[in-house]
Amino acid sequence: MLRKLFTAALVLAAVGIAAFWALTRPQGLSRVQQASLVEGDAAAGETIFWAGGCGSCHADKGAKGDDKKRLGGGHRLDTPAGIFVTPNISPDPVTGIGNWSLEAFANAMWNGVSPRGSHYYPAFPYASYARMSGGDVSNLFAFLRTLEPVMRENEPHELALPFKLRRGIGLWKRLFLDPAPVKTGLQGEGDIERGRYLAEGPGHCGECHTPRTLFGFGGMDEGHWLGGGPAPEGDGKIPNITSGEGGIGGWSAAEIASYLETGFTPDFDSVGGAMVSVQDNMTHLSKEDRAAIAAYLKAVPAVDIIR
Amino acid sequence: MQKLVVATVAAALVSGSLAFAASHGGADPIATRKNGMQANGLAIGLLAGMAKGDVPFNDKQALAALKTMNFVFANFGQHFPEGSDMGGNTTASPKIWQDMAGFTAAVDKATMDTAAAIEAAPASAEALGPILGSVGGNCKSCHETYRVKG
Repeated sequence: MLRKLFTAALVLAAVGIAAFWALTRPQGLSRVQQASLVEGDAAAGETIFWAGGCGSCHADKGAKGDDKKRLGGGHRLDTPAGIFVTPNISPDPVTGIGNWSLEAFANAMWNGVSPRGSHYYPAFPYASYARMSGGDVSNLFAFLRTLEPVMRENEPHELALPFKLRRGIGLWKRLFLDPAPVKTGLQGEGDIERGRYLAEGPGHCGECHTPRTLFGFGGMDEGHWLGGGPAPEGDGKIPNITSGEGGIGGWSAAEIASYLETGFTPDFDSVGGAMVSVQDNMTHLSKEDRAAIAAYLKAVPAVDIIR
Repeated sequence: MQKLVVATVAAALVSGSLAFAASHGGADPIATRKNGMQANGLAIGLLAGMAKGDVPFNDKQALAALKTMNFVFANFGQHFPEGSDMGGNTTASPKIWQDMAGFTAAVDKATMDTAAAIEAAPASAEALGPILGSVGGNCKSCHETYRVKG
């Protein structure tokens, strides 16, 4: 009897491990993803570079102007899971991504999988980048190729034990990685569609402005989309950018666009914290794109901040 | 209507910097800091309104706004004594006390840049553009490091 139980337990464990292994296997590009890649246009890619804010994490901290295009990485992101050190994504062939193919780049951006076939941690906001078009991923790759190579070896992350097991990210992806748009059918003035694409995709606003499920370790809580909450990195709180309580319902679309352009709120408080670097990126977008983001933010459902 | 707006803003500006001046040296450094920043917000709002043409340019009021900011910055650094890093809904970052030299340098830069702008005595709305660039840039870079929204 005991022997039978023991055998059954062993079999169950083996099945469990096999299932875990199968469920968490890093995926390659799907056929549809592969087919959407094109010959990239570097000039168009620059817009996506600023919309995506690559330089805010991959350039030196506080970098301004052209220094924000030197993507040697090395930021230490202090999170509840531990410290993530951002990698070198400059075109350096040895320490950066200079010898990556477009396919490898796209697989990182959309599926969060490295060229060696392991999972990236979702501190890299691929859960948002997964919504980017093949054209934009191709264009961004072409633009990154034109930048100055930076020699800097990557450093390992410093994480607490359960988070060291990268394979587990495969489960996280099954639960939380979904390239579908978040808020569809929104009503209101302006180019909401374009704004949605920029904000939910490359702009990855939700990664900080939306609270996370599973005690902060899960995906973006779409029921509280853009409602703010504890900062996922560093100190303080991230503001609600919907029209809900504590949000920006009192701002007009023009005032939101002006904030993105100048860094000043309607009552002339200035942008602060991590948003300073983001707002600086937004100054490189066209007026139309800033207006589109503003239109989208006016149209998303109001939610109240979670206390 | 526009005159009314200018008058209201100017009055608010005066009362804002008065509140800062009145509480200056008082027992509540957090409230004093907030009054100072409030006054500066009004001041830069007035300058930005003039630069954009939303309010008519007025050299005396532009200068008054710059002097307000300069006064606040020149006295700002002394309102961060040990122990004033918590309570009163402060949004001051602990980094201020960890890096007092860096914080003081940032406040000094804001003081000097506003002093230079007063010296330059802007005579047109166009002349306010570069001033807003440097002064506004100081707001952002200081708030990037030394302010935390709670």
